[in-house]
Amino acid sequence: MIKIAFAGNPNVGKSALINSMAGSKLKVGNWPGVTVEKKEAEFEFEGKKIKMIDLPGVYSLSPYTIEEKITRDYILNENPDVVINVVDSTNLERNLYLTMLLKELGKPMIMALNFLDEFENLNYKLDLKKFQAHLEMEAIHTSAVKNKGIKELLEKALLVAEKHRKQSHIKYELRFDNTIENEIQNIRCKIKEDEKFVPVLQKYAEDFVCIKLLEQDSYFAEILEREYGIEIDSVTKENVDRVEKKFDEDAETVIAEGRYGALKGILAQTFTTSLKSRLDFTDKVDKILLNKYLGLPIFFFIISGIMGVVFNGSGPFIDWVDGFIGGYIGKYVAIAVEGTPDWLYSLVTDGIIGGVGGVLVFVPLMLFLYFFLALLEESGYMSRVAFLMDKIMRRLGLNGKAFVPMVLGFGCTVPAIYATRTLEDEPSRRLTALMAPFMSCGARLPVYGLFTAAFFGARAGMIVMSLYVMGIVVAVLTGMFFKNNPRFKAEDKALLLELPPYRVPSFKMIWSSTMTRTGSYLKKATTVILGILILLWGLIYFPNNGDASNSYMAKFGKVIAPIMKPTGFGNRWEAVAAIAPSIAAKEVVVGFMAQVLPQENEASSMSEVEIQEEPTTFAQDTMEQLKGFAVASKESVISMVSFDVASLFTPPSADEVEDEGAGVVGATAKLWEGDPLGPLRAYSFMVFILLVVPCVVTLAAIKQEFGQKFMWFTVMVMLIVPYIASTVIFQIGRLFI
Amino acid sequence: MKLTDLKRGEKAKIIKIGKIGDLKKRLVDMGVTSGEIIKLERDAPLGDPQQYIIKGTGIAIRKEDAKNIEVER
Repeated sequence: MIKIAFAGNPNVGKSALINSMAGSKLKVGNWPGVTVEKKEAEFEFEGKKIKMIDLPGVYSLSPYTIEEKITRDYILNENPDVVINVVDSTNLERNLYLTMLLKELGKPMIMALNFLDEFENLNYKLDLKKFQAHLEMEAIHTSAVKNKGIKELLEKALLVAEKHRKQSHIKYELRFDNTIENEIQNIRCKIKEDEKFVPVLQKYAEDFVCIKLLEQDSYFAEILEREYGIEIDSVTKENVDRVEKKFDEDAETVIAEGRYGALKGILAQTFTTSLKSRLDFTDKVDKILLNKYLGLPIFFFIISGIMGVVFNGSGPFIDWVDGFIGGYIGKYVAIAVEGTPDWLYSLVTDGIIGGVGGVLVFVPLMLFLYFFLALLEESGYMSRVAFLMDKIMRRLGLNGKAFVPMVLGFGCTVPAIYATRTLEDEPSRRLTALMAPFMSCGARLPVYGLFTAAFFGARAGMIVMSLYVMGIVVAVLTGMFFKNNPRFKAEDKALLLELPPYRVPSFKMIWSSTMTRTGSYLKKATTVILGILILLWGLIYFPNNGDASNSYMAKFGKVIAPIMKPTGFGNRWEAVAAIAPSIAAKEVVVGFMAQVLPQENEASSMSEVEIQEEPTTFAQDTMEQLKGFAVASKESVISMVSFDVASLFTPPSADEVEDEGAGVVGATAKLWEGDPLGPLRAYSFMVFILLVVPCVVTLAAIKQEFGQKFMWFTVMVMLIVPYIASTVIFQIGRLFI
Repeated sequence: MKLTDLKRGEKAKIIKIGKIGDLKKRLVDMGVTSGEIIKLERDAPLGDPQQYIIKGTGIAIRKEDAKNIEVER
């Protein structure tokens, strides 16, 4: 098998290039232990087995960011047969810096000069023959959009891999100035005589070792000390001192400037620019999108547009999937298990079908979310979001990009968790993921709808608004509380952002990244979600065969209720018991209330009048589903263009709530009927539901992205925080009533 | 003079990057090296950070960091 690693700066079209080579074979995962995305593909090309690895986009191979460490470690430890260095051919000076660093690693390399179409439009000229000779590697013009040079790149890469098959390190020419070259030579002599360095030089290229020693690279120094017992100061202190004295600058910077000097020399002899600038178009767009007065309004317009499109657009499909699983698949599964014991029948039709539905209804949302996230990122606008929002988010020690997951959280927490990927560093991702679940999501609205209808009447709007504000305040306070904790604090919080040129994203690439990411949700999240949902089903079903008010869940509520006394709603076990099912999905609280609360006679008799339906055939049902899908598609388009963001923040009316269970509003009102503190207790309950442990799909997303330990940490935080918040609200509130 | 002393649209040559921790290395890796010409493109609408152009690339840094970069007209 031939291992091909792709390395390059961010925003050089690396992913699009790999996509056009590997297509549907691409798999998305994470690098071990971190949330940095890892893309891999295995396929056959001209009879050879190939494994492609997309390394994270980096500017350098210094040890300062996880992405850079991953790239460096991969190339040094996993020994790819060839490294394809993808560069933006319209910005060679900046891009070749990484090339110089990659060469120091001494691996077989080949260069993809990407964005050929733009390069030609700009009338830039490159003497390819001379360029290749100077760089000591082949370079091929490529364009993923026009599908040019891609096959050639792969063929040549395989030839390079073949040519250097038996060679452990390649010696490239370094091209530093004399002072640095002399020091490197001096270090080379020293380490060649040093017995301790024999194993080091077997593993690493000689030049690499010498340069890292002179740079006093902290990461490499650590490896030398830990694995080889070598202290670098003893070896190279005199060399470092000499360089720093001569240039009045630290050796690391001097060497970096040396690399730029070398590549400038190469470009001066091979590259001719033109009067056009690669930023001409970008400048014009930025004049509007980053405009002092228009920048922020446009940003809010775009973000609310995306909210509307993602949530309203996916809504009809979510309903369709819900009906497809529950109504269509569920109907025939129910026929299949008819006659089995009651518990088994309920396990299959309610537990398993319900669970599968619970996983699958999120698929349309995932597809919409990933599509628009990729669009934001690939177009170059996401970096502008970081630029626009930096001043606000930095107070929490976060990058401006953290604003996007927070806003998505108002629609649904699950996409908010997955959207934290767009942040650069692990601690910021964690902090954002910890804060996002406090944003009041759409699934909480039915709960607000029920309790405001039962206790607040006309004041419902104000109450719901206050809950949204409460969520934001608690999120910010939680962020403030944890921001200096080492797990949430990035080592280097300074902002350094590239604002890349705007580019029309490749639709093919966005589509494939959307599909692979959604597929990875299905693979990783299904078992967790299904497991917990079936467990919750069991707790409500047993021991009394579906009688919820005598279930284990109800018993649990009765046991816990005394502990919940200070929150105000603890005097009713029904309210306490409803907390656990809210983990299945927040809106389940409504259905659970309908099951456990005693109903008015009139209401319950209503539900027994079943509408006699004509029996339908399998073919009719299938037709019906297909028609339903067509209708959903139409509705999706209509709701996308109608731009109705307000509906995402509006709780269902009392009538709509009653659909969940006839008479549930009246029954809920009876919870604290005649109690002067009733509304306060209800409010405290809503606050608790707002802040308590998010739904199981969110938990699965957190586990997938951040691991099990962090998931349990979130659960802990989201048990303590709502308890404190509800208690404070009730205890202070009662003083005024 | 400091980089933050530049007016919008003004260009200057970088003399030296002061001690600003790891950020210095990251800046150098992105091409912010002494001798290069840097241009202040604009402030963010909220006043901070700032967008600069260097080596044909737009970058954004905060004023608190930019003031540690010494430039001359």
